Amino acid sequence: MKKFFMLSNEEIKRSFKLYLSILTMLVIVELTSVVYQVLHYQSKLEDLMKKERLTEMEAVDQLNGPLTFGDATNYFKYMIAIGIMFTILYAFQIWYRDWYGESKYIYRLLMLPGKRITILLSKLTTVLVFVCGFMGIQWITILISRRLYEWLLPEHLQAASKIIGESAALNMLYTFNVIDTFVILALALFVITMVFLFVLTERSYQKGKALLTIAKDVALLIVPFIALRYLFDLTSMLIPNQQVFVYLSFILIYFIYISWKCVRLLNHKVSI
Amino acid sequence: MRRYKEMIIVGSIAGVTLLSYFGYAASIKGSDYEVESIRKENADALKKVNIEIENGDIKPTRYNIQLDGQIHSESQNYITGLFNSYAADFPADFYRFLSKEDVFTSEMGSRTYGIEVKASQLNYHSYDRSTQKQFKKTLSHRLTVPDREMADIRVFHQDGMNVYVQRDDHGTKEKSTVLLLNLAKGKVEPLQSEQLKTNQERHYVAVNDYGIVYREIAYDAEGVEKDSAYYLDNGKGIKRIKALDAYAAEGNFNAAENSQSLIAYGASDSEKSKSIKWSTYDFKTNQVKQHKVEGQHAYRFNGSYTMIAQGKLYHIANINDSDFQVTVVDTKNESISYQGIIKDKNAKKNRLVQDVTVSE
Repeated sequence: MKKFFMLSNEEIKRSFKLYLSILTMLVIVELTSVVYQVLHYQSKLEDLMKKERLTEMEAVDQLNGPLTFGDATNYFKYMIAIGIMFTILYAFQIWYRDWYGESKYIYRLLMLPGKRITILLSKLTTVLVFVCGFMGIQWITILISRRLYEWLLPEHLQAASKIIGESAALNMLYTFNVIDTFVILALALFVITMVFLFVLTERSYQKGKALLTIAKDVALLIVPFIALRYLFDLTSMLIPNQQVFVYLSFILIYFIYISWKCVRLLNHKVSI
Repeated sequence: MRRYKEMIIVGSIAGVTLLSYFGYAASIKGSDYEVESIRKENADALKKVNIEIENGDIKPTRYNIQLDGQIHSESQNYITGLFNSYAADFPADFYRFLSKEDVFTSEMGSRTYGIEVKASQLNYHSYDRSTQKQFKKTLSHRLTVPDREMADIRVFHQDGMNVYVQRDDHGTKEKSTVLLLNLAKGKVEPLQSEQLKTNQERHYVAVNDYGIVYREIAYDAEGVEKDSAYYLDNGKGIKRIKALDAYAAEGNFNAAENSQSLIAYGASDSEKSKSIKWSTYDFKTNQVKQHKVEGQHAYRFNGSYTMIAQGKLYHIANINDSDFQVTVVDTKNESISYQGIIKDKNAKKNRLVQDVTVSE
């Protein structure tokens, strides 16, 4: 356990500045985008009133109504996409920096006494904690943005909406159901483990064989899915609820398989 | 502790911010319903009525309310969203049949029907949610197999073992056919086949000794409804049932148990009224009789829900932003057999009645 905490802290320490910089950048860009959207809307409104000689109500009508919070947070979806991209790239980088870094850190890691699974778990925990941080900070940014929106925009130009607005991306991430948050984190865990499997496979075999092994593992996910779908459509042997149960069971079994394979590669195959 | 400084900082950022989100989610209050009965004749019957109310809130929740006071609420999440609640209402083999690509599905009251037309046979399955009984029959027939994309088949009337089916073929020419599925004899009998005009739609309603009743809707070139009316076709001639014109636009009707009259309801009314109204059309006299009962509270017409099951009219409507008045009316003797209020202690707005089921 001590080794796990030490390794996890070490991983976080090595990315600490990068992570905090990205978090700060995302928060600043998002808050700036809200200010920009509100000011831009107000300036468009004033322009319309001056040029077309309209009353404020008529100008609001021409702009398709008051500015919604969803409009004001329109750029958030791009920031969320950047956050997801960063997480996936970081899942690659957390391994490759150990091989390609100046100090060849992987030598020290693999020579450490104790089970190698701890290395895998510490890296997995680091990426997951970063994902949780992204989700949490994004939530706080939404709350601050809401205050900004209400403070900057006169009340009669605001549109009533729920706290997170109408953005599809925000509505998917924040459903206000704890189970959904764990489903999102489970999905993140699945994707991160897949990335880890690709890296460890690439590090374990020569190029051609590594590519073939990765292709085989991806096929092991996709082919049974298509086959099951085809079988269910053809035979109607299971009702949709039973089909969902089969699909979920398959994903769980596949996750156990890739986790087991990651551990196996790290214990027996990975070469320095 | 200082050795784990970075881990503690990042962990705290993630933990505190996510906990604030969970705290906010937990602070969102849903509805807290209770049923307050004003008038009831038969307490046992109350258990059989289930009212499903959904919210349009940030946290989607479905409330199942029984008039005897039993209330179940279920929050929806990604996992429950994967499972189809519609499928849970049926036995597995019935749902399996409905899921087949070439099966046409329709509903009438508490019954769900599935019809599969093959080259030499017609497979008929039905399931009654109130009695939980399933019925299967294979009937011989000599009809063309409908194109799944260009046709529609639905049951519109059932009289014992006689099931009346409307088949629409939307080819280059719109054609509407009425078929009688004689479940006792295992036969399919075509009763009527009509070529419809363009921009015309027909919905068959009922069949009795006086003929076949249907509702016809005419659209203008832009697809906007311009006329809708009920007609009675007795085989010799067709007459418009003018007495039902006020109800034709809504299209809410039920054939009375004896098939001698038609009960129409849900016609637009004043926004706030205490009266619950419906009409019966008597085929024999060709007369429409208006009926009404007075409820305890004035209700809002918009968003109100009315249906007829087992000779009773079920009417659920908002009496204010959050509370509903439930009225069960015996249509035979025009009396209220139950009236009650579904009260929301948290006074939440924007709730909508999704479904009402009455089990036997």
